[in-house]
Amino acid sequence: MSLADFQRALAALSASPQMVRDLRAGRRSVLDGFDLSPRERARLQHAANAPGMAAQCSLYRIMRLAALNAVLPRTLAALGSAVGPLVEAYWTSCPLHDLRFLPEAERFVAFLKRHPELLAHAAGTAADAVSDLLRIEFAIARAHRATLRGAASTVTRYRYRPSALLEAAAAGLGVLAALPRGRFQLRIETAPAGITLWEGPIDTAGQPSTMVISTRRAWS
Amino acid sequence: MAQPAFAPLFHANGGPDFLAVIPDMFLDDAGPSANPRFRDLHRMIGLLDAVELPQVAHHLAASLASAVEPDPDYVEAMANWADRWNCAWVSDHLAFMEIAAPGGASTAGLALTPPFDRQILDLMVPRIQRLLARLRRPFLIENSAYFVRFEDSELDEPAFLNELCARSGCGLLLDLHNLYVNAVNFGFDPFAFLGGLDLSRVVEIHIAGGCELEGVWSDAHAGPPPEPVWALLDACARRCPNLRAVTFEMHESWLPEVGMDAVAATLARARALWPAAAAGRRGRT
Ligand SMILES: [Fe+2]
Repeated sequence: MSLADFQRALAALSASPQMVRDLRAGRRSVLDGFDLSPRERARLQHAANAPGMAAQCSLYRIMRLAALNAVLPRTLAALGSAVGPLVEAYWTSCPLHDLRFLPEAERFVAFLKRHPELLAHAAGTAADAVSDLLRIEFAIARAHRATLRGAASTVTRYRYRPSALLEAAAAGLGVLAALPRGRFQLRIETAPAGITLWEGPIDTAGQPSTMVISTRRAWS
Repeated sequence: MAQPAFAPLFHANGGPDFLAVIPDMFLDDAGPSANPRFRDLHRMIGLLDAVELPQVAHHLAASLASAVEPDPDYVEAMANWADRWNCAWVSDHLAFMEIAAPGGASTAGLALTPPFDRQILDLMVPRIQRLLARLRRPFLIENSAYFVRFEDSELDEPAFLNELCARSGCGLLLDLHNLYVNAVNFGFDPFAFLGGLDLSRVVEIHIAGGCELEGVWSDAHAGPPPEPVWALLDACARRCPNLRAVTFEMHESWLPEVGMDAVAATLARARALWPAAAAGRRGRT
């Protein structure tokens, strides 16, 4: 396992500036979880000390953030600089990347669902709105993928009007926090030609009053 | 490089003579359990349907230097793509991305360059031989840019590349900007590097521009090549007897800053070097 573990440790270094700092400070126990030869240990120490290691860590962040941004651009725009601590926590938990953008975003969505306190801390009073926005964007992205497979329909429920969230996302957390709350339903119709979104408040019978709010072309 | 923002140039006077296509950008990977696993991204494929330029395929994820074996589905997708578009050759990088992890293989988030050791050579040679057999066309390995360099590698980089090509039968995609990045960041002479390289293996050359990142120079594909890269091209193109293409690599996200005129001017400058380079190659053979 030595070579495999060396490569995994080098990837872990790129993922974790903290691990780089630990090694630079002589805390070699951070490598205890890897099965390494003495030469491989020395090479990882050399890598941590290398002037280019900061660039390598930055490039890792650029690549992984680009993957999330491809699927969840409005959520990331809404969070602004508050996204930093969220993705760092996510990357610490999942240091290895999935080259497929949708499963990578799905993992991020699931991570935030498991750690609502992180989103609450990052988004403050807009946390519920951001949580809904995240789910809506992911549902739309998943529906786009499903167009490759044929027709389908999904219905999901939210605390904010989906179109209002999508349109206000770029304005930031303050605007999202001020949006009116309610009980809303989003229906996504998927067909090979594209997707159509319908939204409406959930009435007392639990049925949506539907309204076309967008097509693939507008929101893809 | 075939990206949507450059499409107007594909049909223009002075546009490219061929396209280097990154198939990873044109295919949707639905995952190992899906059948078919790789499907066309229609918006992207339309870009290629609309042009009649020859193509070469430039892959990102074969991960030939990884401790884990290349994904057989990905290798199959490489072969299918090359057949479908009749690519003159196929290439990927001297790098690893796939990581053997307890939960199954996953990726490093960025391509990493291994130490230039015999262990890596011995892993890569049979993989490339199998790839060549499946592709039934030339395969080129590209020298990577790296931010970490292992000075205690068993071979130097040119010797590693020479032996890899000689033993596996692959050709070389010589990225002169990657060479420039490494020479700047690690303080070595890129011309001496070229002097140690078997240039008869070079089939394609990449030129590109970069930018500063955290105090080092990076291979960001950020615009026209810096002058030292042109100097490297001028010095080596005529010494590569089997050179068939020079590719300008640029990421379309930089286009608003760089402008299409600068892209066209880069193609024109590279093209102007070509007759001299061709004459130089003829003179040497
Ligand atoms: Fe390149």
